[in-house]
Amino acid sequence: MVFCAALTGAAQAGTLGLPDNTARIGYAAGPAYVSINAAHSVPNQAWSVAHSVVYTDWFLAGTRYWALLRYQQADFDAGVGKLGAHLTTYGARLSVQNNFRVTENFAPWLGAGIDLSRSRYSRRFSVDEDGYLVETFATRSVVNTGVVFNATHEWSLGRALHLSMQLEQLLSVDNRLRETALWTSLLYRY
Amino acid sequence: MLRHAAVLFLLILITACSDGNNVPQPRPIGSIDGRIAAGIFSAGQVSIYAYQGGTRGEKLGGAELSSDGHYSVTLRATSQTVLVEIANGRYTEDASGIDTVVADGQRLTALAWYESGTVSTCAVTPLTHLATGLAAYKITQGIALRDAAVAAQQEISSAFNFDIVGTSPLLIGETTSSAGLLTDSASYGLYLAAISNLTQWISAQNGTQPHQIFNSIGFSQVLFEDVRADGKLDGIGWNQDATALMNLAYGTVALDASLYRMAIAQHLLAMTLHPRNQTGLVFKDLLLKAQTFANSRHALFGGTEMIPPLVTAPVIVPASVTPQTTVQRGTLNFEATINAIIPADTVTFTLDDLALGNALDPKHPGMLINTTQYAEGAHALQVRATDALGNHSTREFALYFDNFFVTLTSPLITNKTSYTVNGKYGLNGGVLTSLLAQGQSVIIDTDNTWHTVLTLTPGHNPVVLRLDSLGHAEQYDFTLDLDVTPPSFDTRAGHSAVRFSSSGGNSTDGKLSDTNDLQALFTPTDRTELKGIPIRRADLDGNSVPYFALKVSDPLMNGVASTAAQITVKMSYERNGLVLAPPRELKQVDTEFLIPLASETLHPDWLKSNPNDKQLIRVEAQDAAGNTQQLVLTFRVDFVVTNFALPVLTDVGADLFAATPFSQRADLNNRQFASTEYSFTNTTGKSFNIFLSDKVQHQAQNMIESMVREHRVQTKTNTEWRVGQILNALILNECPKNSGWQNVTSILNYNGTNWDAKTPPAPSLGTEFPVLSDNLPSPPAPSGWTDVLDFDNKLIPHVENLPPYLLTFDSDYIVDLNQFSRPASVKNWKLVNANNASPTTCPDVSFFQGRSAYTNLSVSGYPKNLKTLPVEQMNFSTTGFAVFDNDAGAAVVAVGGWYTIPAGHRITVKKLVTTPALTLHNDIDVADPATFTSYAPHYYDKTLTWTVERGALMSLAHDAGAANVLSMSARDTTLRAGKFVYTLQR
Repeated sequence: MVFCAALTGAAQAGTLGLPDNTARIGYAAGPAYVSINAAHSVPNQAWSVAHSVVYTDWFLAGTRYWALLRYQQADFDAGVGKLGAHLTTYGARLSVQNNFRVTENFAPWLGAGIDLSRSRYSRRFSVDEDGYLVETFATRSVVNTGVVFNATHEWSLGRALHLSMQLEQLLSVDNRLRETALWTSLLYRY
Repeated sequence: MLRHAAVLFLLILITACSDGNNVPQPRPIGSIDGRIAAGIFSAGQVSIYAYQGGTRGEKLGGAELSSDGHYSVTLRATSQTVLVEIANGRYTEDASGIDTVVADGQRLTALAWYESGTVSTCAVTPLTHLATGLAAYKITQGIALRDAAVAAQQEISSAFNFDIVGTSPLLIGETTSSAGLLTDSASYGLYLAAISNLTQWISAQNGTQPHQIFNSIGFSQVLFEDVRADGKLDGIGWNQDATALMNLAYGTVALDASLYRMAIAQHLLAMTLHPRNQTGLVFKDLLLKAQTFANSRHALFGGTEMIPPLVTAPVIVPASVTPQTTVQRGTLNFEATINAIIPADTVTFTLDDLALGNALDPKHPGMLINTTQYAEGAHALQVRATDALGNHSTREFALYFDNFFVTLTSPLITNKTSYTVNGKYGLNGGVLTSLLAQGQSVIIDTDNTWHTVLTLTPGHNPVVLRLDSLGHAEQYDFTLDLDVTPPSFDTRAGHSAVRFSSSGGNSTDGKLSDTNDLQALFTPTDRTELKGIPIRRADLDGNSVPYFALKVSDPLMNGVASTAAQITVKMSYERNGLVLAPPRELKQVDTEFLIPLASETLHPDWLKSNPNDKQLIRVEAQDAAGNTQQLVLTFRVDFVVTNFALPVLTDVGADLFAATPFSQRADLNNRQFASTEYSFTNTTGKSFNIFLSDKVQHQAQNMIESMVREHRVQTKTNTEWRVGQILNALILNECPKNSGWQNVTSILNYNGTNWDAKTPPAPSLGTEFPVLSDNLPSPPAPSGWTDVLDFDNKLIPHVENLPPYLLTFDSDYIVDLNQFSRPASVKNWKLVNANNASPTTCPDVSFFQGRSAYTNLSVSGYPKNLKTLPVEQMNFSTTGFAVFDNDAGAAVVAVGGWYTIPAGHRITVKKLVTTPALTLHNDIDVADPATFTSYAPHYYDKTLTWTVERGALMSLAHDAGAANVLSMSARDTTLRAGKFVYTLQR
């Protein structure tokens, strides 16, 4: 899908008279606040650091797509009724963004898209009210599908280098996973 | 802004190296150690439970006792107040040395504060059990749990003047290096021994074997109930329905605050004199402690003054003379026996209000009295005994001083007609002249005794004894009563109300009769012990304890009868002809004798009865003359497990299905798993048996998506015509002939006046039929050509006058009007030559034929893919139940399908079901109708459900021992809770 979109973007770029290559690739990282709502456990939340490889280009009708492959880990503390776990997530995310000019100097990109990821919950355990280990559980993996909403703002660091910040909200379809992330991206037009 | 963003970006990169947290350590292990003591506990299992809201909670650990009653239970639990409990096992009573089994429903407990990960010490004794009861009361008064537990233990500790939890009791049979020192440990052991001795004394008061029924553990239960009711040891406790307070008794011994203090103090001292006492402590060592305890005004006893109870006072029995009107002569050594719990401290003798002095040895009190120093006649001798605790009693004996006498020593009443009587005589130094009875000489024996045989008649028999000694005579007139009539029983006042078992596990109200063999008594298992209920009609009725009630009297015949006090009544208890309780004397309550149907009055083993066992109580009354009468009371008993909180249901099979990916669904075929879990605690106080069944069918469904390609075809039939035009019907020199066939789609037919255009019949469609290919099958071959039937038999006549010829014929069927001379049908063709009389004719010809031609057509919409949703359904059954005893930490093994559930244990029952083998379909192409091409149906598993009925039928039967498991009547409890559906879907 990304490949097809890249072709589309390139073709449109040519039409619009923009630079031949409008695609950019980059690295993004940022804090993410992850909330899981697993069966047999009260909801649990944790901060984590997410990393991703970003690819973006023009899309259709003045929009652009924002694709990323992400990786993150999070540690959920256990509590009474809450399972502790170490979460490792690999996934792909694609959103389409449109530019909205608010002021002359502030024109964020607002977008929405889909997320597909595989989460591995390891070191699952429960504790008693004093924080002592009660029981450990087997590692389990789940596949999540979700929708994302994001808002992005960019600064140019040069002709081919850009810095962007993006606030993104993920909602899984089964309502088991939520994530709010603040991405900082370094993008390079090659 | 950019600088800030860059810094943030770097921070993120740095923190990205975090490796996450580690799994915390398990809670450290701690333990609670101590000793179980009420005598030496030699076997049993100690359990430790969470203690929440004044009731027993989750079990935290358990351990077997060592042979000397010590325990050590390891725990992995939070810091909390815990309940240490022993609810089974056996121990040796300190006072009697009898090995005693802790009965069902009995327990000893203690509350302890467990600090997580540390070692705590906690003794478990009747006193700590008492503290548990007091704590339970305090909790009901709104005091916080931990505060209540601490306050209760401090209160009991202060009443006994040692730490009841932290002190390990030294049992009296044990020797120690500190022998002879009154340590807290020794005091503790002696108090426990005092309770043992007290219950042995209570056994005697009730006429039972020592500690068989009334023992330390049983008494502890009563103490617990007493203090739990109002926070005081005052003999006031709840009735069995906990609806009202009542006076408590332990058997026939009424309990109150004074009795507790005095009796325990007395028996504390008594145990210092007991041969089993190895503590090195003697009477005087404990005297002050006992006196302090007896007179304690501690809040535990309500702060009241102790009033010495009558029942604990010394009982003075003359050892050397028979009481009342006994004639004494010469020097009388009056000796008395003091039957007391502790020896009398002083025994004082008084004759006719004149002090004679104290006995030199209070243990064997006696006093020498020279009767010759006193006037002949009646005198009163008073004996007063006082013990070290101030209990005292005084008894007066009537004496008659007479040194010249003749008297009778035989009983004055008999049931023998020929009655040998004997007696004594005294001559005060004289010489016997004669000794006559009824004027006849008696036989003189040695030691101034005599005897003779008298013949009696029923009723009063006046007898005259006359003694002569050299002119000095003494006459003794008395009456011998002959009573040959036995005492009689009177049950007209009625036995108690009772419930009889009836069909279907129900009961009917009724009343006990002497014989109750037809229907067994419906006896809830929480009504099988008295547990402190006084043996009085009102109390027994108020607590629904059935009883037999009877009066005994001796009929007055010929003016002779025994009084009620002279009649001895004993009862024994038999089951199936086997004596379980030997005869023991019954005590009269008001004017009657009451026999409650309870363990304390029958035998503890009556609980081991099945409904068919014949229970028999044999009551025997004996009057003063020796006449006996028996009353047999029979019944059968059906023990019914009393109500308890029904099991809590939990669906536990979901994890199996949640953990099974759809692709692995074959693993769920023929798979046994626990679907429903029932948890309950046996709070009935007795062990019982359960039998689990499940007559329902569970259902497995596979909702399948099926796809198949279908093609339906119809055969279309077209009618084709052809005509053969006659070359030219006007040719005179040849008959009409076919110029060649040609197919036509219409033809003109002459209808007598005009030419009508005729067309073949419209095509027709045959019935639909399926084919297994997208291609159409080949149609049938066309039919053969056949003549088309004439439409109307009308032909157009032709007359051609071509002199000398005259040509006539009739024709029909032309292709168009221009080809009038080329019809397809010519008839009656005749050529007449005027020169020749013989005309020329030709045969009729018709070249108009038709046939059927066929083509196959697809029915509209076909071929197409057809999707259906068939359901595959199979039933499956419950394959069994697994019963687990959480307190024993082991599975319960069934005997004949019955599981025994011990009293107080928390049980988990799991219903096991085995899934059927559902057909596995997995054709992925069904999911894409656009590319599906198969004319054989493909199946695609979509949604699998297993619907399990949660309910079960639990039959409950009292546990009367393994031998009776199959003989007990069971009550069924249906656990209805709907269904639980496990789902697995793509």
